[in-house]
Amino acid sequence: MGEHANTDSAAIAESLGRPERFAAVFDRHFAAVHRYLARRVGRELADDLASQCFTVAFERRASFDPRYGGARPWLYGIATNLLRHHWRAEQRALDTVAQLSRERTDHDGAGVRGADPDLARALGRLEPDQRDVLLLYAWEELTYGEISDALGVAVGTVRSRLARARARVRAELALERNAVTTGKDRP
Amino acid sequence: MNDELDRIRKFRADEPPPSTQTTQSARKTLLAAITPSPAPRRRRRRRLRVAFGVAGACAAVLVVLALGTGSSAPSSALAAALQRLARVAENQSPVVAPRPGQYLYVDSYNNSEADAYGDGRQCQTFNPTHRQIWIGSDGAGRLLETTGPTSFPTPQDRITCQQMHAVGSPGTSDLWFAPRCFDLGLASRLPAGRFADSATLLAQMRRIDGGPPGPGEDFVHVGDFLRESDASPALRAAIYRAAATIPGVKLLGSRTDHLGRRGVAIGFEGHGTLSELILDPRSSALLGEQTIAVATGRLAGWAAYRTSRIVAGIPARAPGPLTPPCISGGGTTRTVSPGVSIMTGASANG
Repeated sequence: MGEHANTDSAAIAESLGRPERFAAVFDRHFAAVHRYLARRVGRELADDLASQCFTVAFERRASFDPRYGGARPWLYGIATNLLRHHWRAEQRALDTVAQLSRERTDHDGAGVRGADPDLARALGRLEPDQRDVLLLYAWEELTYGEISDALGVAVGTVRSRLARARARVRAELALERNAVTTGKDRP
Repeated sequence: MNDELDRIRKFRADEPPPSTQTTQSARKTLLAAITPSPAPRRRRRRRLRVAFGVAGACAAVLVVLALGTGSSAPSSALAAALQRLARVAENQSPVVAPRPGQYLYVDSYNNSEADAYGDGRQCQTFNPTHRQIWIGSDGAGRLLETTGPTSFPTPQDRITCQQMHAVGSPGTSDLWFAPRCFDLGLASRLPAGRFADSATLLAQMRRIDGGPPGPGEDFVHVGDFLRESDASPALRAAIYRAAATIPGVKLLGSRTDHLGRRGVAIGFEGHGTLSELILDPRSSALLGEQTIAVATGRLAGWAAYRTSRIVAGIPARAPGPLTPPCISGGGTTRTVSPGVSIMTGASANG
């Protein structure tokens, strides 16, 4: 349960009668949701999607289940739904980072800060559902239960998607290491 | 075997937080959704002028008159009534604005229509509120609101709101603000010295308070400069004279406000609502206001201002440090205990 659990629930409940109360939810979570979206699809698109996320959340606040505790899982669920309309943008962003690999090799390790071309390639090869679970778990540190709430899937499904995603990424990274070691081009 | 997780966590981990401009823009979009204007028939009154977001976070929202297009010329009776009020104001001692450590304190009651939206439906509620506000010269302050049980304008609103779970609970909201989070008053932004002729004053008020030009909007500005205001008697006098020149403003005669005090009312009708300001003929102060749906005669909201004075301090200790100050266009509200919050210039991430 998030640190804002009680206050989120209270703010959302109050906002049903006094809509202006919902601004408190925005103030608490906008920066984090925006950062998550920016890491996935870039800042420019994140600006729009993060704004849209909170407008959608406001419109749907009557359906917020206080059993969630804090609003984080709920907001990340909405953000993830919005991302589904932009999977090509995410794929392009990952492909762009993946292309840095050759430049990095050519320039003796000089890469873009925070970029990891091999990992970008591995993430790009995941099924979108697996990527959602993996990044909510790794980046946002949501628990299995919170991811379950966010995505509307069973906890068991979260576990299996996460396990498959991690195994796939491990395998891809091992393949990359092997390719570098043997000097082969990647597939 | 967490190597891949470690690498994932580091991936784009240097992504910076959103810019202030992005945050402001998104917040503005959200607030527009929160306070929609589905039709131009009415607009929300600006009750609390706060540097950032507090209008969204804590202002009791009253729905009042719309932009009007009234074309009738002000009557001589109106001009005479407002001239009398202006003279009363001019004969009062100048009120000193709050000095450091002092606060403008306003104690008021209101019970106003609020809209709730969700799942494509809409309903309206009334939320009676006792409102106390302290505004310091540095823009720090406190807003204490106690809300009573919700009521509904119609039985259908009751049913819809209950289905939408849009019925608020009675309770108290105690919001404290760091310096520069409040805007002390619109009046302090007017040029010093003698107040200009009515047309110039209305233009200055329009520029400070914002909004499109038009007589309905000008009448809104009159209310905005009078309520929870640091307006001096001289400014009040100038505002009353200016109000007499706004096309469409009417003298409504004697009215009793919702605390039982009699005053003289002026009003503006536009897009189906009549907005009234009730003024005290003895003190020239704003006693109260109300909004009436013209077609049905239904009271859509009211407010009564019980006290407005400079006080030496806030009668309670702040629940936490009121730092850092709000920055231009930026601030964050955090809850420190149930119903008690602090707004400061700190970022959302602390």
